[in-house]
Amino acid sequence: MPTVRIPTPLRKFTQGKEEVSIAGANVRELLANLEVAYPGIKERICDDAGAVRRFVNVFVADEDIRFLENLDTAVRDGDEVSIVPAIAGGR
Amino acid sequence: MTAAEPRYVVLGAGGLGCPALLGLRMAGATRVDIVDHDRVDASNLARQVLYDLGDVGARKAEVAARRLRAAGIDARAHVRRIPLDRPEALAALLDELGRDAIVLECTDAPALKFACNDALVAHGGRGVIGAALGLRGQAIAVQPGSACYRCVYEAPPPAELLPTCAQAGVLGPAVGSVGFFMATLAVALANGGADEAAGRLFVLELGSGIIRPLAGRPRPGCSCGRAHAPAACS
Repeated sequence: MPTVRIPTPLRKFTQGKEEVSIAGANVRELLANLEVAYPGIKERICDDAGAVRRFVNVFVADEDIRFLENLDTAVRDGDEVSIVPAIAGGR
Repeated sequence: MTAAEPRYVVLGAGGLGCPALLGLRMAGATRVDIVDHDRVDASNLARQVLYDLGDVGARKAEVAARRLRAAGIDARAHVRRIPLDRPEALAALLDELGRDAIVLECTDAPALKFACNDALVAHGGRGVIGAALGLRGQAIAVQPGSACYRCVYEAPPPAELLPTCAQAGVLGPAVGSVGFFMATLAVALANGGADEAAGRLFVLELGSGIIRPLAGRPRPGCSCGRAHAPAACS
């Protein structure tokens, strides 16, 4: 299964796990299955229309899915999927 | 010192700004402008290592500039509060300080990160935008022709979805690592050696010891498109 790297702000949904293994043939399926496993997490990643929020990026093997096939980007066993929201700390 | 030596503007002299300033000092920077309106608080001292107990209550920009001047650097303090809802105010400040400077955006305000990016892109400027939270950080170097911060993130997150350092925690050495990394990128920009790094979002997963460079392409439709070469970002 692909591995999903969970950013710090969303780890409260994954019981603190940095990485989780989630099935899915593409990013859309993977996010749906992520929501099943960790309820509440998807709305932090996607808006009401299902699109990835404007302050979040999803990368498959370090490639921005917006430059691939967006939510239809295929994921394979062993792929690493990173969810990377904008952060702003630093004081 | 010569006029050709690079000049740096550091926005925010807190957890990111202090190590970024130290990094610039270590790189031999000779001209630095420091912008911050805040005062030193005793709770800052662990991670904001330019300050000590005797500085509590003093303006951070003024103390930081004094520390750098003591090391022979031409450092100037600018005690300014940049309004978060007026990006043109930051653009005007950068105009005032000189568009040739390399800007390091070290505040904790998302709106300023976007305003800084937009000001850099609009004038063909160079700079580094960074952030740190918990054990994680991000940094991106922007230069003419590269992807920009807005190519990576189209808009700032709403406040209610943005965790603060108070909520997610912040570890001094982690935010320090990000600040030093930002200084490294800024010096690379100054030396013309950042072509490979510029436009890539570096995600620093410091608890895991991983620095991950992500994408680096100008995003079609990005508002910076007018500043990118047409072939790169239409």
